[in-house]
Amino acid sequence: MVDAASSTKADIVRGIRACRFYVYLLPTFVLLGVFCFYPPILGFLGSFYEWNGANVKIWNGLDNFAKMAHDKVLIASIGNLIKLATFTLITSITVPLLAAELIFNLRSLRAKYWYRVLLVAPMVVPGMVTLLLWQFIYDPNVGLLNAVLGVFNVPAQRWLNDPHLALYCLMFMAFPFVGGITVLIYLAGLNSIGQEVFDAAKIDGARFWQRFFRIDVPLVMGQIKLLLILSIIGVLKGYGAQLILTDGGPGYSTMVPGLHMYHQAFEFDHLGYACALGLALFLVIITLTYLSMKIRKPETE
Amino acid sequence: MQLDVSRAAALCASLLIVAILLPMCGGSETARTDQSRDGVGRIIRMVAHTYMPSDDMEVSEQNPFPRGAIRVLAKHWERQHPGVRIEFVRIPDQTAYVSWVRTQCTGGTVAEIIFWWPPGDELGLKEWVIPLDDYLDRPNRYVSGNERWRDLFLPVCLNPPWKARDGHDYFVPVDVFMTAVFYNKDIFAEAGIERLPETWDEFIDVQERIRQAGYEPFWCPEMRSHWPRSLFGQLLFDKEVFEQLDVLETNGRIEGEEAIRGASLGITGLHEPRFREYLRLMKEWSQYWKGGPSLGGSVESINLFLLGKLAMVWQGAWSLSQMEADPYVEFEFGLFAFPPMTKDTSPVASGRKPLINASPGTCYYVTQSAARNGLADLCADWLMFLTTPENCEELTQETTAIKIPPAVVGTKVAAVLEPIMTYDMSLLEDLIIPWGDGSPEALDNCNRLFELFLMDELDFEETVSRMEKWWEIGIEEAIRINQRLSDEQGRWDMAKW
Repeated sequence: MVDAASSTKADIVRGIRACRFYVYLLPTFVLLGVFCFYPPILGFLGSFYEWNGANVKIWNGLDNFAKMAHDKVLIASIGNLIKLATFTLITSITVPLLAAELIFNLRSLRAKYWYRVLLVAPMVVPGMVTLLLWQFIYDPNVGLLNAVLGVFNVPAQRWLNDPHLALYCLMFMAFPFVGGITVLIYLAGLNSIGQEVFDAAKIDGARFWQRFFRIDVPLVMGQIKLLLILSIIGVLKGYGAQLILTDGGPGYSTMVPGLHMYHQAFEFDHLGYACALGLALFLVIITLTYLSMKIRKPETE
Repeated sequence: MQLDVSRAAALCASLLIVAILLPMCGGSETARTDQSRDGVGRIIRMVAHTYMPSDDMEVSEQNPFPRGAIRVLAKHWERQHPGVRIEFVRIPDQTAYVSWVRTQCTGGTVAEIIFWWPPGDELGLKEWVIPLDDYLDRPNRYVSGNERWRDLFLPVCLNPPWKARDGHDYFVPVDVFMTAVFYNKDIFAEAGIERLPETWDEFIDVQERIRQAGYEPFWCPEMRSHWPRSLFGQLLFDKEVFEQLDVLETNGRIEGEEAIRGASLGITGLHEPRFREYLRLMKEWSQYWKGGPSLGGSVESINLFLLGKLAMVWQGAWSLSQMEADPYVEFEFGLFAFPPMTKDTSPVASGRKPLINASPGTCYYVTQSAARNGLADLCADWLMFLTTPENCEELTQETTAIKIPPAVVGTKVAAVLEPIMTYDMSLLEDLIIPWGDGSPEALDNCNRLFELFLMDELDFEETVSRMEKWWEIGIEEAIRINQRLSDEQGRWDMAKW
């Protein structure tokens, strides 16, 4: 009887001990639920309503999704997004890889260290400052770029105010296309390749580009996939530069779906439609992420 | 130790009692005023805002435009009212002014006279300020022969468009906001322009001559704002159209419902020849804008003008301060009003001299504090004193300070302001060219399409046809959303349309 009682008591203590860790995790999950999961759920539900953010929501079924098919601004913005995404994906994957290769192949450890520091240092500059700096560079009247062109007697351009140039100006703002984190991720991948692999390639007489394409790229495919996913997510949902510099203009020349969604929600009070746009963007991002995961598995995995 | 704790507790209790009793000894606002009613020391607190007297009247780099006129005027007035003193309240922070006033009004501690923006619907609705209609209908005793105080003011400052929704006048204007074309006299001289343009055609011709002289003539106006639409509304629309629109609440301004009614009944719309003329004339004008048309802001325009890189810029007359204060301006500048458009320029021209964006500027309100403290009559009297033509001149045209267009008829103005005071100030109708009214989305898209049209990216017919669609969407949405409201929320009675 005593044994049974003590056994039950031990079970309870063990149970409490086991539960303790769930209790520790509870605040984190509550906060995650409130701030990360609840809003998207609300957004999902909101996409089936007509709602201006203040008055009563009115159920309109799939009307918000049907509206997308006729939304000319959205269609124009998708065209812009495709151009922007293609350019961004290519530059954000390839250029940092080349930069990482150059640093990786430096003989001096000190030089490697300092190049890494130099690449990461600009990350301390707030994004807004960078945007405003580019705004000054592109300014048609007092901007740096036109001043430089003036030296060579090239006529001044309107840059962000020119509907034919504005989108390319936004693309070029990532110049020199070498993000600090991206290079570090590639360097980590390159560093994880065993020295014996490089030694074997050297013995086999592989030149730099042969080694690059046949050893380095396949072995950092994991990093490439990661960066591809991050870039897809970033470019599809990003609209900061457009919001600050062009507001999607001139006309609709730099409009992207993210900015269109923002306008619908916060400028036009069409929160239901904005939710539907957000949901559509989410589905596109998920699909593209899934497809990029399906790229052939790297040899290191 | 026990004793120490007891002593500390006793000390704390004593301090608490003192803390509670001290404010009570100070007396309340009401008590203070009651006392002042009987004898000396009646104080009118005033938030003078623009005319707040400077602490130091010495001109320096840090204090380029000191003001002291209101203090001098207050002394004069106080001499005529023994026992009453005017105290100028320094506002804590310009950006927090709105919240500050609301808090003070809610707490009942607001100054007797405050500055606020016209027409003061919010303040009137909450009864934080008192109606001044009765005072404005009485003679201003400081102006001989004046029968009604309100007659002293420019019609554009104190007439139906600026009455509060409840029909009352809540404020007394001291100066007037208006916009003008600032021009660089040196560039004009170099381009051989000897006189200012008197018609729209001459205005365009002036810009052509400036361009030929190698200068940039103009800067793109604020395309997202109503400025250009207001300008052309006056250049093209005559009074009859205004009267067809201002019918539901004939108060001298086109309310939202009236604008939608007018659009849905086809009184205004893209079929209107005046609207088409607006597109055509703006495109013609836009070829003289530095950097071409853009929806961007105009902050830079002042800088370029100050640098002498721009011959003309369209700004509020309030920009005089920035321009006069700038030590690097090396040229002489002047102001002129937009000239009227004649039938030679457009067959639908109204021929009116446009008075754009004119509105009461610095407006003073008498608050409930004044009424509660028995100071309302004295406050009104002080404001009457302040708005005689002579005193208004002293106030707005102070030698050391920035010159501001006065709101009082007959006030002498500084030479720099003379050209813009030739506007027809009796003009009350301010008809803005209709533009996707009813929905922010329609408005935004009309702006974008218009921008593309000015940039030659869209032709005239396509622009009109695409804008027409947005126009319809805007009207339909405005009506749909409004009709969901209750009567109390302001649902339109469309049967009256």
